[in-house]
Formats: sequence, C-alpha cells, structure tokens
Amino acid sequence: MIPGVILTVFLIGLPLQAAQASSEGDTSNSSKNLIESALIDELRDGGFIFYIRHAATNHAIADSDRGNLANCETQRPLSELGREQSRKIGVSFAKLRIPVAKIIASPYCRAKNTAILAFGRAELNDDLKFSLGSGSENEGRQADVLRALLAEEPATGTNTVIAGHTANLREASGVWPKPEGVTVVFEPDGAGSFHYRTAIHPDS
Amino acid sequence: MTSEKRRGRRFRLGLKTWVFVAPIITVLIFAGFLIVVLQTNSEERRALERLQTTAISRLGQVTSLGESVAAVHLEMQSVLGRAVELDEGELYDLARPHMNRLHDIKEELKSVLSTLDPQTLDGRLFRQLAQNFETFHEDYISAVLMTSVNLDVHAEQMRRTNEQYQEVFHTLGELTNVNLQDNSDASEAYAAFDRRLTQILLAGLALCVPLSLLVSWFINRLMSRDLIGAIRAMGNLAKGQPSEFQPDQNRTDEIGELGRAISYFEGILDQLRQEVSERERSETQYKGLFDSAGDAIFVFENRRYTALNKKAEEMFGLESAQVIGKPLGQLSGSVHGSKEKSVEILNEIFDEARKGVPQVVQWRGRKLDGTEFPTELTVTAFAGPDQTEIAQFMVRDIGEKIEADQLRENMTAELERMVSERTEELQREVVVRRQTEEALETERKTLKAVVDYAPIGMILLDTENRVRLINNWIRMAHKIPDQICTPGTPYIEILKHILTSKRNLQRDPKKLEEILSERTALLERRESNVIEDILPNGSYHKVERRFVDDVGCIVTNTDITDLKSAQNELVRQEKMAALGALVAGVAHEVNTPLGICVTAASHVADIAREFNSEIQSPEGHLTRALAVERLSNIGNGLEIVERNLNRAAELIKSFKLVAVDQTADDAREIELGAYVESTIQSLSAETKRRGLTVKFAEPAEGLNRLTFPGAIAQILTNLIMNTGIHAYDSNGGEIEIEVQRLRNGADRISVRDFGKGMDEETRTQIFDPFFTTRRANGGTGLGMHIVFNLATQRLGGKINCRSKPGQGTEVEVVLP
Repeated sequence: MIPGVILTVFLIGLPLQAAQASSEGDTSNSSKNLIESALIDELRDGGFIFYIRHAATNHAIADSDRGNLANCETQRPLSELGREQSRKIGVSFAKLRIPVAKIIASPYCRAKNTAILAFGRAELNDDLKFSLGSGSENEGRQADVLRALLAEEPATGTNTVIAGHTANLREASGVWPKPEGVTVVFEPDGAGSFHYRTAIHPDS
Repeated sequence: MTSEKRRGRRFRLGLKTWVFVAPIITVLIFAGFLIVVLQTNSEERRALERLQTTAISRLGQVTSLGESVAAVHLEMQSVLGRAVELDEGELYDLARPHMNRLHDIKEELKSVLSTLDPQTLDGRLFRQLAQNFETFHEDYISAVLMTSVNLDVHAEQMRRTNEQYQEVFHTLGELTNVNLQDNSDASEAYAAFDRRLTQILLAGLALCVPLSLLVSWFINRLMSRDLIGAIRAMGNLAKGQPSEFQPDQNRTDEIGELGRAISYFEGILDQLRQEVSERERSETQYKGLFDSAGDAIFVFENRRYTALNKKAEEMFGLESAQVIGKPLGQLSGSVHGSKEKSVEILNEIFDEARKGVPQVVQWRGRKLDGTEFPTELTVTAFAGPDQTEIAQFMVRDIGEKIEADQLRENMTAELERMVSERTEELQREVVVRRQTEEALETERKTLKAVVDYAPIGMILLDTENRVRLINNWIRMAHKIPDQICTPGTPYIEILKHILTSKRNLQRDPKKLEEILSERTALLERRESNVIEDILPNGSYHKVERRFVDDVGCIVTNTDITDLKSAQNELVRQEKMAALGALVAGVAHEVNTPLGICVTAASHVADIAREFNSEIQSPEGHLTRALAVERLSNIGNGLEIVERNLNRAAELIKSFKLVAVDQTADDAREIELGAYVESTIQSLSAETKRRGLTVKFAEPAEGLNRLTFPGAIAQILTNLIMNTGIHAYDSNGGEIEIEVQRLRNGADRISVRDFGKGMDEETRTQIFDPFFTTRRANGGTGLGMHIVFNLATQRLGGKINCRSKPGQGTEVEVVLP
C-alpha cells in the first residue's frame, strides 16, 4: 500500500477565516482532500514549513502558572491520545521520507513534547508561546516573529517544522488550526512572504 | 571713645525726627514677623492642598478603574455566554479585543503601583488589587482556552471568572473607602491649620507692644549720653585738658553743631599753646649755635664790644667781662702799628663792611697774655634798631693752615719725581710687550698657514664651540660662503650650512634635521668621535672631532672615497673568486660523465666498424646469432652514452641556474628547500674534495618566496667553504643545513658545524670587512662580510652567529 494514499488532507479554513486570510492572500478554501502523491513528491524535495498545533490534551487540567513554563506540572498536558498522535506524526514523516532539518517549538510543554515525541528534538522560541492576553503590542510582535519564521526558506532539500498554538497562527496568517495535532503546510515564496498550501489531519 | 564714635554714626537723625521713627520701626518689625509666619505656613498649606488633591484624584482613578473592569467583565461574560454557539476560532476573535483591554488595565495597575509607597494602607490595598486583577486576567485566559477545547467546563469557567470579579470589586470598594477617609482627614487638617495661624498672629501682636516700648527707651538713652559727653568736654577744656569729645563731623543734628563748636575752640587753644613754645625753643637754639660755632665771634654795637662766644674766649684767653663795653682795638697784634693806628685801619674796614659787602682780611691777633697769632678776619656790619650800628667779627686761627700749605708743597715735589721714574719704567715695558706680540702674531700666522694648506679639512673651535679657523679645504669641499667663515661663528651654523643648503635636493629634509640634531647633541656633550659621511657627489668623508681641554675642539675632514672604493673592489673580487671556485667544482663534476661518454662512444664506434666489415666480407662469416650480439653490444654502449650525457646535462643545468643567479641579480620566485638542495648539490664536488659531509634537513612544506636566489647561493657557498677552512681546519667534517618557516612567516636558514668554534672576541668581529684569522694563509677577511652584506642588504634579512670555543658554530639567516 502506498502510504500517501491513506493520508487524507483537510483544508481547515472556515468561511470566516478564509475571508480574513484572503487579505493576506495565501489560503485557499476547499473541502477535505486526499493528499496527492504529487504534493508528497514536492514535500520530499523540501522548501516547506509545517506548522503543527500541539496534539490532543487533557481538557480537565487548565494552565495555572504561565510565568514558569519550565514546570510542566502546572500546564495543560498532552493526553495519552496526544502522545500517540505525536509519535504517529513522526512515523509518517519518516515513512514518506519527508526531510526535516530545523524544528522550532513553543516553550509550553504540550507544544514542546509534541515536537520531541515526533522528531526527538526541538529548538525553543519564546515568541511562539500562546499569545492571547499578552497585550496587543506583544501579540503583534509575536505574530511578526512567526510570519518571519513562516517566510524563511529552509535549507536546500529540507523542510522546517514549527510546533505551536492556535492564537499565534491566527494572528500571523489568519488560519485557525483545528483540531489539536493538525499540521498546516506553508510554502515560503522567497520574497519575505509565504503561501498556505494545505492542512493534514492528525489521524490521517 | 571708639564706641561713642560708632554710635554717632549709626544715628544721624535729629531729636525731633526720632519721635516719629521709633513707632515706624515697631510697625516694620511686626510686618516682618507677619510675612515670616505667612511664608513658613504657606509650605504647610500647599502640602495640605496636595494631600487633598491626591486623595480626590485617587478616588477618580479608582472609580474609573472600577468602571473599566466592570465594562470588560460584562463584555467577556457575554462572549463566553455565546461560546456554545461559536466555533473556537470565532470565540478567539471575539474575545481577543477584550482580553487586550484586560491586559492594558493590568499594565496600568502595575504603573500606578510603582508610584505608591508599599507601606501605606493605600499602597497595600493597591497591591492586593493588582494581585487580584492578575488572577482575574489569568482566569479569563484559561476560560477562553478551556471553553474553546472543552465545552463541558464552560459553566465552571463562567463561575470562576465571576467569583474573581467579586474579589476585584471588593478591593476596589475598600480603596474607595480609604481615599474618602484620606480626603476628609485632609479637610480637617486644613481647618486646624487655619486656627493655628490665627493664634500665632495674635501672639505676635502681643509681643510687639513691649518691643516698641523697649525701642523707645533705647533711643532716649542714646540721646542723653551725647549731651552728657558734651558737658564733660567743656569742663575738660576749661581745665586745659583735651576735650575727649569727638562726635561724627557729618552729623546734622543739634549734637553735631555742639560737637563742631567744641572742636573749633579746642583747635584755637592748641594753636596758641604751640606758638608760645615755638618761640622759646628758637631762642635757645640761637644761643646754642652762637656758642658752639667753630670760629670766634665778636659782636659790636656802635664799635664797642657787646657779645662774644665761647670760642672767642678760648682763642684769646679771656673772660667776656674783660672786654664787654670796651671800644674796638683791644686785641690787635703789634705788626699793625700803635693801638691808634690799628683802630684806624679797623674803622676803615668797618666803613667798607657798612656798605653791605662783608670784608675778609688777614689780621694779626693778640691774646690777653700778649702772644700773637695769624687770623683771617671776616667783618659784616648792618644797621641795628634805634640808629645803632651792629657789626660782627668772625675770627679764624689760620696758623695751622699755613703749616699745612707748606707740607703740601713738599709732597707735590716728591710725587712728581716718582711719576717721572715710573714713566721711564713703563716705556721699557711697552717695548718688551711689542716684541712678544710680534712673536705671537707670527705664531698665529704660522698656525693659520698650516691649517689653511693642510691636505685635509680642518676646523678649529674654541671652548664655546665657536669657529677659530676654517681652512680652504673645508671651504672648497662644502662651498661655505665667506661671511660664515669668520672667527666667532658658532659651529652649529657651519653644520647647518653643510647639512641643509647643499643637500636638501638630494636627501629627505626630515632625515637631515635628525642628523643635524644628533650631531649638535654630540657637540654639546663634548665627546670626541669619528663619523663617516657620504656627500651628495658620492664621495666619502671621515669627520673626526677631537676635544682638547682649555683649547676647544679640532674637527678634521678626510676624503676617504678612494679607500671606500678600494674596499668595494676587494668585495667584488672576493665574489668573483667564490664564483671561480664554484666553476672549478662543477667542471670537475661534469668531466667524469663526459669521460665515460667518450670511452663508451669510441667503443661503440669500434663495434660498428667491425660489424660493418663483417657484413661487407665476402666470406660471409656473419651468422644471425653474431649479428644479434653485435647490435646488442652497440645498444648497450649507446645506453651508457645516453645515461652519462643526461647526467652531464643535469649538472650543467643546475650549475647554469646557480651561475646565472650569482651574476645576474634578478629576483624570482623559488622553492627555498629545493633551491638550497640544488645549491648544495652543485657544490658537492668541492665539498667532497674537502672531505665535508653536508646533511640537509628538508622543510616539511614547500617554502615558496620571491627573493634573490643568487644571494642565497652565495651565502651558502661562502658559509660551507668557511666551515671547511676554519671550523675543521681543512680536515673535513659534518655540516648540518636546515630550512624552516617560522610562525611569523619568515624563513630561517641555518648552517651548523661541530668544529672548533670561536671565542667571543672573534665572534663579534666575524662580519667585519678584512677581519681574518688567516691572513698568512691568503684569507682576505671578506667572505663573511659578503655574507653579511648579502643577508642584511640584498635580502633585507638578519644574520646571527652563535659559537663557543670547542662547541661548533651556528650561523642563522632569517629572511623576513
């Protein structure tokens, strides 16, 4: 069985978000799709940014200390399902032979652990942390940082993975990544901007 | 006295004016007090106002905060309330502006908190408010997050945020109460302040009454003191004592008038007293003068003695009573004839003097005891009061004067005699001196001639470094103008001329200035020295300064151009000799393969001739096997020829390289290791002959550099040959040559032997030209000098020699 065939591709953009996103001119709106093997070939050649929203979490626990992100005890953790999803993401990347070089993650444990479970490593970027409630100035800056990361072309023949949260991506690109564990694919245009390509459901 | 004076100056107003001034002063003091009290309390008043304003503004702040929090809370509740019907993205978009508003309020609280004192109740409450609000904010973030992923917790989140809102609201209420209390406290303090101010002013007014009384009493006291002083002064004056009353002369009041009147009377009294005492004093003075005069004085009234001084009594040996009242002519000598006759003469003199011209005559006086003596008599006469005639005789005893005149005449004659003797003596001395001067002049001229015509340049300086003589040689060589060749010119001027005027076209002026200052310094230190100087025309001068005590300095210039060129010629010859040795060595080396070639070629020619005759022979001895053998022999012979010719060609090639390098001095790029090796190779014939084994340690890497290879070859040649001759006394030995690149990029070539080495004295002179330890064996002493010149000048490097007797020698050349 060709692994690509079993991957179903969602396009997540809801009508509202699509309207917002269109102002940044990069997302297209369409219904569920099967991932095309042509796209997989493209992904194998590198040059894409994968924005992964942290995998499924335990919704019974809320974050209680946002000041100290090193302590995972006070944060909403990945659920058992989330852990499984994370590992699966890593396995899929390997199976499809999609090369990944740079892996950046939010310092929140759920994002960081998603990246580490999938790829075994992650470089933390403080500006990727959940931006809601940090004030409009901070929000704007964090969105600028993420936009720059999304527009940064990966090293030749490789892709870049970013593990983060919903709010930041919404601010930076207008896309709302849903559900938890979804992977949104962007392609930098080499001129300081980027295009939305597709979104991949975690269970696929 | 001084205290009265001071007081007089302070109060210049009249008695009547003071009646008005005293109350004005009192009023002024009260006014000053009033201003001070108001000024001091205005600070307090402002502080109270500030306190009240702060309380009111804090109330406003707290109220508006409460409003903002309530508004945001309401908005957020309505957003969360709709969460059930919204997608998580929509929820986020709706909540985001309110969340940012909450964040802004949090920041505002932080900034207000930082301005407050945390110890006050206000500060504590604000801190609590800020903490509560932070939790409130965090709760809302959690609420949005959790509601978006899990609708089940929606109700619980709403409840939690509501509870936290109650906490915030409660704290806000407390803060409002505290600030209301502060405001009312400030109002109360304000009222208390007003009451206190009124009390202070009343007390001040009460104090002013006794104060004004005190001022009036004080002024009265001062006025009466002045009047008492005036009365006491009048009493003093009446008693003939000083008044001791000195009020200020500029006072315009009544006391001032009184004071001026008293001092006027006092002045007049003083003047009278002074006049009386002056008169008494002058009379005493005249009497004293009269008596102490050096001449005898007689005073006549109507030609009768009326007074005489003490000197007169002494001179004529009489008492004044013996002559007073008697007529003229009592004391005249007998030479003047009878008493009547002398009286007649004296009367004539009197008559002449009476005309107003004092008469001076030689007169013979006679003492009362009859002895006579010569005198000089000065007679003056004038009309006295009441038609009387007053006359004065001044009599001077001139007996001693006449004796003195005699003595002076004798001494003058003696002096004249001595002067004439001395004059003769002086004339003799002048002749001797003239002869000495002539001899000196001749000597000076001789010296000048010797210096002028000396075959070297000479300048003589005095001890102050001024020119005494400059000879023609110097003037010609440096074209020094005559005006600075005169004796007395400072030597510095000459130096300046030599070093600047002639050469600034050829040399860098800065460099010349340096040389000038260096030589001036040497001159000032008075050190004898020798300098070699290159003139712009290329000639060399040796300049020698020799300082001689008490004479000055002798500067000599010698043209050593010939000597220098002879040295250079010898250096060139030595180079050629080294080249010759090299040629001989290479010729020997090439000779061997060429000899083999000749032998082999002639052998091959023989075989060929034999083979040819065998082919031509009609007998047909030539078998196939024989032909093969002949051809193989020819092949072998030619192979030998080819091999040896190649070797010869190789040798010639390397020699050509070295030879060309030595004669033509072009810089080119070489690989230092290979080059040194080929140089050693080209010398191998010579080294073998001398029994030297040269070990070469090849460098680890290729050391390419642009340099003068000829110089390097010559250095090596000379060093190796030197080692053979000197270190091993021509008995052969081992030489180690090493080439390496140093860390700073320079290359180092070292030549080391294990021979007899040398002592310190020899080592220090080893690079000097013409220094040799083997002059008898034909050494020129130029080999090492050439090496030194090539290394330092041609290659711009450094050369170093380390050696100890018995421990061998290492010469190291470092190329930068």
